[in-house]
Amino acid sequence: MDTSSAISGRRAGTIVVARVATGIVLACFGFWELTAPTQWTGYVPHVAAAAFSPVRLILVHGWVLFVLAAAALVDFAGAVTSWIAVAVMAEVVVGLLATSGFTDILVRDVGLLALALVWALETQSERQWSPAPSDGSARTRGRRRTVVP
Amino acid sequence: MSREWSYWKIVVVVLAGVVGAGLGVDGAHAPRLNPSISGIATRSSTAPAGGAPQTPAKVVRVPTRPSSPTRARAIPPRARAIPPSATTPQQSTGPLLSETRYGAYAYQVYPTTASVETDRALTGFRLTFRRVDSATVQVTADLPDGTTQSATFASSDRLYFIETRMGDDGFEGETNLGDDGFVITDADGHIVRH
Repeated sequence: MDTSSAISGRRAGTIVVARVATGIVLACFGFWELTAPTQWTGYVPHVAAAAFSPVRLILVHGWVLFVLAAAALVDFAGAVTSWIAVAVMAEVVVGLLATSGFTDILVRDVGLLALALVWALETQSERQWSPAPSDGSARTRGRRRTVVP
Repeated sequence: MSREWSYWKIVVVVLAGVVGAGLGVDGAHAPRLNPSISGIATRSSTAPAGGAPQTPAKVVRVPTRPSSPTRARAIPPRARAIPPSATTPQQSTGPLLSETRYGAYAYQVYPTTASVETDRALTGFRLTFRRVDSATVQVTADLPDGTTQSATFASSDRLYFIETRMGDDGFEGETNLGDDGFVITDADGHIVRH
């Protein structure tokens, strides 16, 4: 195995770990928000809660997390899904900052945001360094390929 | 081949969307923690600091004996459930707290029983009990959002604090009041309604 292959293999491993870990976190929170939305309304920023029903906002949020988790776990459209996960986690961090300020829970979620970011950046990086598919099909993009030295 | 693979993924994601919608429809009807047991919310003595609309989730009603401040112990013998919105004036007996979905998350705070779990659940809250007369107790709750609420209830009742998730109890105190609440039961564990 040459250096390029080794790097590519490591990158693929990083992506899998970041993707699955992020997917599991999103799945858990999505499930909890969907099954007990009233228990999460404390995290809805006041501005949003004044305009919409906090419970409905949590339900929508939970549904997005749940679907996103499924996409992450089966590696569906990783290049897009990973950035959506980053956006959702960023929204969570901003929301926490707005409702609770700087807390230990915020710090924890910044870590989860970083995890999603690793997934997105590594996926993007892998696509950039991989040769374009011969048929130009977007279908095969984002899948692991060996870098040609 | 990649086409079949993609279809398989699409099916899983769509399925997740359908299942998620089903869970959401069901979850929308889940009982919510009573934010104003015994009308505490309406007797709030302080306005929410930041105007937090969702905060009034804790409060009290209470049971037996005179007071003593604080936190007690966890998990009531037969507890579960959250008091249905307390709106009726007269007291009536509801379902067993232990038979509701919140029974497993109930911590008895009156009569007070020392417990590490209850102390942890009450992170950010401060409860003070005062005997009004031989049959009535007043509880005052200082909430994490800076508000104070109080309520009175029969001294023969039991007061439980509901905390469904400890994950929001950080070093800074409680960050989400949506999963907290108070429930009053009679001596047999039936939820008391007012």
